[in-house]
Amino acid sequence: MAKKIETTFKPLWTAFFCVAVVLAGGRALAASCENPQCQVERGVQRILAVLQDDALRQPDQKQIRRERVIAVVDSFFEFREMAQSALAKHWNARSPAERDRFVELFARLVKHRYIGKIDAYDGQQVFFKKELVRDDKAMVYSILLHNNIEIPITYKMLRAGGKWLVYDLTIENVSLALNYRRDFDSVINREKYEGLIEKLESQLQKIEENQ
Amino acid sequence: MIYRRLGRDILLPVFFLTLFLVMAGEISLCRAEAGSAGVGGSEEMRSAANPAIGQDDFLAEDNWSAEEEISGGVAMADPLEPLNRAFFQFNDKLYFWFLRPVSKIYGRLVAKEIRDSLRNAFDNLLAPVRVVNNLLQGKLQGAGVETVRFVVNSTVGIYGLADAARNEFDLSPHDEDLGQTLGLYGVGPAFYIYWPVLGPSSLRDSLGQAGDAFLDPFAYLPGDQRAAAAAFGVKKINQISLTLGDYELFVDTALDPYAAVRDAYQQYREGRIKGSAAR
Repeated sequence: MAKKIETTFKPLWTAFFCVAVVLAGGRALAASCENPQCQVERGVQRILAVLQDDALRQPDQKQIRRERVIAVVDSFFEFREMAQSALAKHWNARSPAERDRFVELFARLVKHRYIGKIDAYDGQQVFFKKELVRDDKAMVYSILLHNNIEIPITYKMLRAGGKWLVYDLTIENVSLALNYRRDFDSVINREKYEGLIEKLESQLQKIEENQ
Repeated sequence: MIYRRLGRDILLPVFFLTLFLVMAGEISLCRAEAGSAGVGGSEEMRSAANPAIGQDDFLAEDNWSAEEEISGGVAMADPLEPLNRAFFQFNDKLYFWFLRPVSKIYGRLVAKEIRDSLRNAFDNLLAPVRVVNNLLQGKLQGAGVETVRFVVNSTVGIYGLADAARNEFDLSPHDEDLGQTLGLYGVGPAFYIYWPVLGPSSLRDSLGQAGDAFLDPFAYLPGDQRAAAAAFGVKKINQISLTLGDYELFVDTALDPYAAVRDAYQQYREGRIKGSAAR
């Protein structure tokens, strides 16, 4: 009799236990990933998982692979802020429609550079060192280890709607937003804003055709 | 011996004369800037307000506003821009037409492990440069680590082919050059120079390189300059074969590659000097 009760109740207890674990675990996971470092870390791990997936390395999977990486990047990058920072003083003179167009083109260019940088290395390791948080801004320090060479990558983040998003990153001390600002400045000085947009479009076309 | 002849007869006097002039000008500039910034007071306040922050964090905190705001300071002066742009075009062609194809063939012929080892060995030979610059920056520990690295890698690591110091003894390199040392002394880059073959530099860093060349063993290879040129060529091709794609990606995703490279060089060197100051 005792044995019967045990067998009847065992699955029930197990199920209850599992639900409890999942709930607690899920909560703990959600709670522990509210800080900026955890959010970047998760994003980067997801990108690496896609890049290192052998099934997606087949030539016919190229497009799917790209789309998946871009989806992850979109989930933790704040391109509007980055674009505004890259355009700097020229941003204010733009109409809302011009701004939207610029953000769209700029985001595509940045993704090519960032994903290209990560994709170039195989078998690399990423270490997250620390984060500094001040109010709604944060910096997350990471190291990409490749061939025994340490490449420091720092993510600058801001909090928007309860989420931490990347609005600039520095690779080997070179800030992406600042590098593009000086790059774009040089073009605008000679060819005005219209020239910049033309160049952006033709450059993107060139990159995307070669993929 | 192009290095030696150039060095002894022309570069050395020019080096010290220019160094003196640049330093005299820059130091007075820097003093004025430091005075107006008033860094000292805020540092004390911050460390008092947050005693839990460690030394490393504290330094990063101190750089917070500069790093986080993407203000970036002032772009480097470029009075030689037309000439620099011409050399940039030249190097770009040199890379795509010659260095890249040669590096690709070289990379196919020589196993990656060997190329990695060769890079370590070339790097090991420049240990004297790093030791001296660590000393010039008052970093006894850095100089010590570099000396031990040189000894360990030259012996256990077999002429530096293996980075035994890092792998077995966890001794990471303390990379310092004369350009960084001068930067730490308060010397600004002065202006941008894009050299044919050698690529991006500044007046300060070019002088630094000329100074460092006295500690480069390649400058003292016996025979005529062909041996030094060959060593330089192998080093360059070896290095490119290990970083193929980096230059292409950067240039492809820039709108004015010349301006983008100039800024990347400026930011990279500023970061290294800031890192020098923090270490």
